[in-house]
Amino acid sequence: MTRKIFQKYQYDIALESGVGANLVSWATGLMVFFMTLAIAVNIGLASITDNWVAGLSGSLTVELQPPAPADGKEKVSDEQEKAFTTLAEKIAALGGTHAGVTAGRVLAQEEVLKLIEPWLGTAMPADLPLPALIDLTLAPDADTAALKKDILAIAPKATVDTHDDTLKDVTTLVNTARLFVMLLSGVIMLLAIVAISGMVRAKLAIHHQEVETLHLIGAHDEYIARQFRHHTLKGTLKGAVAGVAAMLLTLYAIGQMTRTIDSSLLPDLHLTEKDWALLVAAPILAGALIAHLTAQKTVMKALARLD
Amino acid sequence: MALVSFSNVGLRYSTGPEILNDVSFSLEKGSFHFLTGASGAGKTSLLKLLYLGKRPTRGIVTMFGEDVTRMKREQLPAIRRQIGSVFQDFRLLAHLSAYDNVALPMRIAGVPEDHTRRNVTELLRWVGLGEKMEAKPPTLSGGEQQRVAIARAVIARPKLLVADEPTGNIDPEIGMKILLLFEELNKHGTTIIIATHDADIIRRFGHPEMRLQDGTLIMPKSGVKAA
Repeated sequence: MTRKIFQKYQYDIALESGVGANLVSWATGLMVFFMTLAIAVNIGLASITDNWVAGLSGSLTVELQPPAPADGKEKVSDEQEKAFTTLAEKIAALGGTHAGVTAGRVLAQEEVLKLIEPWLGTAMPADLPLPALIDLTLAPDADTAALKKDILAIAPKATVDTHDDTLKDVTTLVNTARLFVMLLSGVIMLLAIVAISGMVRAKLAIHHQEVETLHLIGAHDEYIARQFRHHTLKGTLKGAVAGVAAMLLTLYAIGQMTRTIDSSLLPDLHLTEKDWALLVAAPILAGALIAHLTAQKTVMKALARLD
Repeated sequence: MALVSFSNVGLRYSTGPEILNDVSFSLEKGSFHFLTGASGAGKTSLLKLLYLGKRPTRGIVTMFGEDVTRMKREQLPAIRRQIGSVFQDFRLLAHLSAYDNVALPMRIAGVPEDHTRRNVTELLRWVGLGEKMEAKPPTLSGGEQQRVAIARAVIARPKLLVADEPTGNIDPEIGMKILLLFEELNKHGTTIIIATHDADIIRRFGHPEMRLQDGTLIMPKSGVKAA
């Protein structure tokens, strides 16, 4: 089919010459450029959500506040430190002993520092009191309410974060953003339909006499519409391929630029082969389909008004 | 049964005066007529009705046994393919070669390309354009363009041939050759109607004359039946 579209096709109507011969390509190129951007953003947001959800669900974080120095003392005593560490290890030991926990681990000091780095930076005082963070991996059917109760029985002042609220907020935010991007794609497609329809009508007006001559020789509307369809489809495919290529280059450039940005502030974005295929094929196919249907409908409607 | 029949036909453009009024006649299959009249008498308008470039504002036009006055537009192409038209302004497609212009009616009708090639080549040679098959209309003289237009009108062997001043721009020798081609087509059954001012041609070929005066067909002579 592609060969048939791009091979030398003789138009009875001089569609390939004159003012605006390439307007369809330009309009589609721009449409596809923004549509590819919208899809990329959508895929990116979905990937970020998935990463967050995968990272947070099925786990639970227990936070123990560091002990404060006893009254009249400047520093925390060794006994206090030891009790603090023992308590953290006791909670981590739930992994393997508690039915709802498969593994438990006290985060190393470096990991805790890394987590607060985006807010406090790297130049932190060495004696900064840090909380103990215990990461518990949950069993698939774990009863988090019962587990929370058991943890609080061990450490009544512990903060138990099941991540549910965070996940809910993040998912709602990202889903709203994705919906907005999809609406934007819809508006872009609508604009493309209006633009292609307008251009086809302009071509019909410019080539009115040729169209009339073909009618008088005995051409059906479909014979004439086929030429407009072919011309529009060819222009659309040219524009769509250029639009996708331009957007991929833009995405690559953005990727190169963001490599220098502190990665701790950006979530990890990974596109699969399926994502890349969707990113390339969807805008081209959508563009071709929109052009084909719009040209057909516009031409047939306009020709029906002639005799 | 008449091939073409006009009954009390009237034609006006928009809200203007009636260009043709109460035109009634019928053309038998295989007949040959000349359409005459002064400039502005309505010859071109009558031909437009014959090649279905216009529909009458009143009256009934029947062609090939079908009432085309109120025919659905989807049915018109099938009727138009049976009509060959030589337009006054030729209406050649400027970006196509002489060959492609002549081949158009056959391509539209879906005739196989090898058959089309054979016929178009032969006809273009016959009208003296064998060397200019690939030339585009703007590079051809008026007479050459007219011959391309004539070749396009006759290539599909139409049942009805309608020609508006077909020999107006060509030299007498070629003009005579064209008319002999029309005669040949007529012998094979094509009904022909030619609008012309050339009294010599009318006298020489002796076919009946339909005369229009101020939009009225006033004097259908022998061979034309008043409907």
